[in-house]
Amino acid sequence: MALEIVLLVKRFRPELSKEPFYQEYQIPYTEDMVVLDALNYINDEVDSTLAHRWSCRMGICGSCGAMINGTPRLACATFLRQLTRGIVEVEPLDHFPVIKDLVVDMEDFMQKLAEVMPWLIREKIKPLDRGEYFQTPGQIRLYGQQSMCINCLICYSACPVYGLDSEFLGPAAIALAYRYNMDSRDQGREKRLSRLVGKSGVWDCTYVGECSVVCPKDVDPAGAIQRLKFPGSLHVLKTLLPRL
Amino acid sequence: MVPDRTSALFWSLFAGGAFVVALLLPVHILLFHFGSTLGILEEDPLAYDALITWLASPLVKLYIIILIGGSLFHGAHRFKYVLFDWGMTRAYRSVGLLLYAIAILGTLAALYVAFLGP
Amino acid sequence: MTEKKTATYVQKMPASWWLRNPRYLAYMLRELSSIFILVYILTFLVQILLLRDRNAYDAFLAIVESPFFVAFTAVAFAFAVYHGVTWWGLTSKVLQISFRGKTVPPALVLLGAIMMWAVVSFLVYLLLFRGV
Ligand code: SF4
Ligand code: FES
Repeated sequence: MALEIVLLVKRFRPELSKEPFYQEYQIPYTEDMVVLDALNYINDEVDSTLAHRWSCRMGICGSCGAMINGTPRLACATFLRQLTRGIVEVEPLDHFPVIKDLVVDMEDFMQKLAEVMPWLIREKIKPLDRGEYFQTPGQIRLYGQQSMCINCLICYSACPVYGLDSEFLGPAAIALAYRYNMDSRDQGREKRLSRLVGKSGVWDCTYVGECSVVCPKDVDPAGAIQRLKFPGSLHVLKTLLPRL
Repeated sequence: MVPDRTSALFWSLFAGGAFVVALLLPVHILLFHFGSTLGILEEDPLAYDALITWLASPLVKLYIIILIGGSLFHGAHRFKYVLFDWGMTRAYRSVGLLLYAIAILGTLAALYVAFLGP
Repeated sequence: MTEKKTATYVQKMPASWWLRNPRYLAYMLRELSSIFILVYILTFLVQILLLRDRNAYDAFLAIVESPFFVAFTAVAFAFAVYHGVTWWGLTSKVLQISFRGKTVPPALVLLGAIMMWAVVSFLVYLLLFRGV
C-alpha cells in the first residue's frame, strides 16, 4: 500500500502575482523521507516551477532553511515522521525578503557578516615558514561551539528583535564575532567590540533565547551575545577615558 | 563605529538592578506586606510608628536605596524593550529616556528619604 | 553583483508574535514582570515619602491595604519570584565559571545561586525585619 503525505507550500511567483499563495501537493511518502526529499520530489515529478535552495543534503551547506510547521529548521535535517501534524506546512524563512517561493534574499546578512570581521586579525602576520599558531584543546574549547555555524539564518528567523527591526546585527553575526574574539590567535578583539557596542549591536538583544533553541548546529548565539555585553560595556568605558 | 554609550550605561544599571530585584524583591514583598498576616513577623511593619523606627536604622537606609534604585533602573530598561516588542520600534527610544528619567528621580528620592528623613 | 532584484515581499511580524510558542510566551511574561516591579516599587517609594505627614500616610495605607491592592501585591510578588528564577537560570548559563580548567556545569551554578538566594532572604529577615 502506498502511503501519501500532503505538503502545503507557501509560494511566491512575482511574475504572476504580487501576493504569496499556498499550494497543496500530495506525494508518495516513505518513512525515511526528510522535508527536502519531499520538496525535491515535487520539483522533479510534480511541479518544476517550485523554487527552493539546497546542496549538501546533510546539514553542512546551510542553504535549505525554511519554516516547517511554523518553526525555522533545515529541510534536509527534518524527517517527515518527526512532524506530528497531518499536513506539513513549508514556508520561506521568516523576516527575510522573499525572492521566489522558498528562496529568500540573504544580502542583508552577508553585509552584517562582513561588519563583524569573522576572520583572524593579526597585528603582524607571521610568515608561513615560521610555522602555524598553536592552540591547546582548552583554548579551542573556548570558541569551539560557536565555530560550528553554517550561516543557515535559521536563528534570524527565530529572532523577534530582527523581525521587528532588521537593522539589528543579529544572532549568527554576533556569535561569530564572539567566536573570533575568544580565539587565542586573534588580535582584533577591540575592533570587533567597537562594532558590537555601536548602533543595532549587542544592546538590542533582550535574550529571548529562541535562536539557541532552533540552531541546528547547537551554536549558542544567545549566550554569546550576553557574554559580549559586559566586555562591551568595559570597551565603552575605555572610550570615555583619556588616551594614555 | 560610534559607541552607543547610553545603551551601554543603562544596560549595566539594568543588569545590576536585575540582580538586586532577583535577590531582594521577593523576600521584601513577602515580609513587608504579608509578614504579619502570615505570622512571620510579630508586628505589622506597615504601621506608621513601626515604619518610622524601621527607617531609622542605617542598614535599612542602605537597603531601601539599593532596593529602590535597583528596581527602578531594572524595570525602566526592561519595560522600554517591552514597548519595542509590542511594535513601537521607533518610539521606544524616546519613551525609554522618559523611563530612565523616572528611575533617576526615584533613586534621588530614595536617597533623600534615607539621608534627610521622610 | 549585476543581478537585478526582482519584486520581493517581506512578511510583517504580527503584534501577537509572542503567542506563537510557549517559549516566546514565557519570555513575554518575564519581560512583563517589569511593569509590576515598576508599579510596586513606585508605590513603596510614595509610601515612605508620605511618612512626613501622618494623616496622608494613613490615607495612603488604606489604599495599600485594600483588597484590590493586596491582590496586586500578591501578583507582583509572583512576578518578582518569576524574575528571580529566570534571572538565576539565565546567568548560570551565561557565566561559564571555570574551576581547575573545567567549566562548572550550569546546573551546579544554578544550585549555588538558589542557595545564595535562600541565605540572603533569610539574612534580610534576620537583620532587617525581625526587629520590627
Ligand atoms: S548560529 Fe546556528 S541557526 Fe544561526 S546561522 Fe549559524 S548554524 Fe544557523
Ligand atoms: S541541504 Fe545543505 S544544509 Fe540542508
